[in-house]
Amino acid sequence: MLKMIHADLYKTFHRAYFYVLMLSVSALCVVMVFAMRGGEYGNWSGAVMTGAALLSYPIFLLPMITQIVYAEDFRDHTLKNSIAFGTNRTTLYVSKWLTTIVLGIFMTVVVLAFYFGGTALLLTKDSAFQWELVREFLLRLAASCAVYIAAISMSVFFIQLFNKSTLAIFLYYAAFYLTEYLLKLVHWSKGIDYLLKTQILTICQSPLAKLQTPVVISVITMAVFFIAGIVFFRKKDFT
Amino acid sequence: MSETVIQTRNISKCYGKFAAVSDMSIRVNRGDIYALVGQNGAGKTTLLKLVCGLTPPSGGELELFGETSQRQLELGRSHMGTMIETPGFFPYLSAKDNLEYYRIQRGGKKGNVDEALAFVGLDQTGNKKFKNFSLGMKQRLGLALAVMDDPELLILDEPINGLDPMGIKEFRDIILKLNREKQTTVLISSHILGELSQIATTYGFISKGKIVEHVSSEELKEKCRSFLQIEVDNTALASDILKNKFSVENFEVAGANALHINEKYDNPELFVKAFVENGVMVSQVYRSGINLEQYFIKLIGGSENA
Repeated sequence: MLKMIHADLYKTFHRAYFYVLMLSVSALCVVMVFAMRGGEYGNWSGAVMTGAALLSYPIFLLPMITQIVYAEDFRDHTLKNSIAFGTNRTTLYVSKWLTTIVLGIFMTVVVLAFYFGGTALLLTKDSAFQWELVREFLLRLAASCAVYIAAISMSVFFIQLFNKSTLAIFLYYAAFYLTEYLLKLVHWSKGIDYLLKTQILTICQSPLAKLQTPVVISVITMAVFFIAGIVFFRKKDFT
Repeated sequence: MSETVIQTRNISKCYGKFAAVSDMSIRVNRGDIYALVGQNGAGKTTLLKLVCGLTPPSGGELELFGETSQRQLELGRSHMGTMIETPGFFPYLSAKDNLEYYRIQRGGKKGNVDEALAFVGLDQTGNKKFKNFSLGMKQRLGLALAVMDDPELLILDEPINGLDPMGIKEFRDIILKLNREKQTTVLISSHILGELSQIATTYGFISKGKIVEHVSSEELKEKCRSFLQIEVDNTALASDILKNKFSVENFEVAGANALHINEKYDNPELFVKAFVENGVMVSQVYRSGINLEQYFIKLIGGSENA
């Protein structure tokens, strides 16, 4: 499995698109920090609090990583080579899932480095700033990772279900942002409590003591999509 | 290790009610170049995909290198090199980076990539990306991937599509070299029957998802051999003349008015002269025979089925 992950990382790091994506997001963070200067949040504590509020945004970017690691394999018919060489399908699926997570973490670290690096250089340390704020941010980030991994599992599942990355991405965003309205339409508002969108908003906005439930729901969601994905992948025809 | 490299027993693949492959049993021995011959949609690619594990079978059994369990089949496939349908590579990577990706994945030796690229004549492509390759170059890269890591078994589906005449010859030489020098077993399908006939040691003719016939190249040569056909009004007398005057034994009477002489003779006009002198009327003399293509068409029941 490590060889498979290594190969996928080799492929991704030899691709300009990945760097463009990562550096664009990083640059956006620096621009945002620059824009915060002189404003209400134009200091270290303001930047940390804003950072916590922005934790829901990586959800938008995750399909771009699953696209690189997974969807393009379907588009370019490269998975057939790996399977014909005797790679176990479950191993292949899991390794790609893990690669996406590794790349997601890598990207997060780089983007956060730019964000907080920009904060350190461009904003002033205010009296309200405490390292406790950073610890709280990191806890929210850790909890968010459960939602991100669940979102990755969902995205990968849609990709391998439809083979068409555009349809898969549309369904991904629809599942995130339209399910709420769908549940309201069918008069089952209780279901909204279990959506990933609800979990990430809870993690961003609620007190730290309330982070446990979103993490548990995200882990369950991840397990459902992950297992369903493997089941479909094992039976799939490759051309 | 078993001498049988691939064996399928009544293997089937159905898509809904349509049987792409139906109860197909083939056996490929070590060192064979096994050619699958069949019209479009006959089931050749589906059979190859079943062997490669790209599609799960609906029934029957597959044996690779003497093993049938899923784990052992996967292990067996790690000794295979394959090229099924169009070669699948990452368009934004160079030939070298594409092969490096699979080398890392398979844990192959570092030098294998350069070796494979040189083997198919793509070692000078540098940083040119796969998306900018010609069809022939793409096919070559597919072949490079298939032969990388010295596979014991090569599975090739229409591998010479898009190759120019030079490329086809080079490809043929590569296959024969691997087969002769490394005893690589090859399972190949192609529409270009003339090419297959130059390399294949065994043929499997497929029609409508079923194997119609298995023959060795020797058997096929025998079936496709050319002969001299002489049409006469008296086959009995003509036979006597051939036997007694020319000591020809390797001939047969075909129908009421024809003789097929299977050996080659330098002066067939002497037969005609002797027949006429002995009162046998000769209406036609010509050399006849069938090639692989004609044999295949005849086998599957005429050109309307081809």
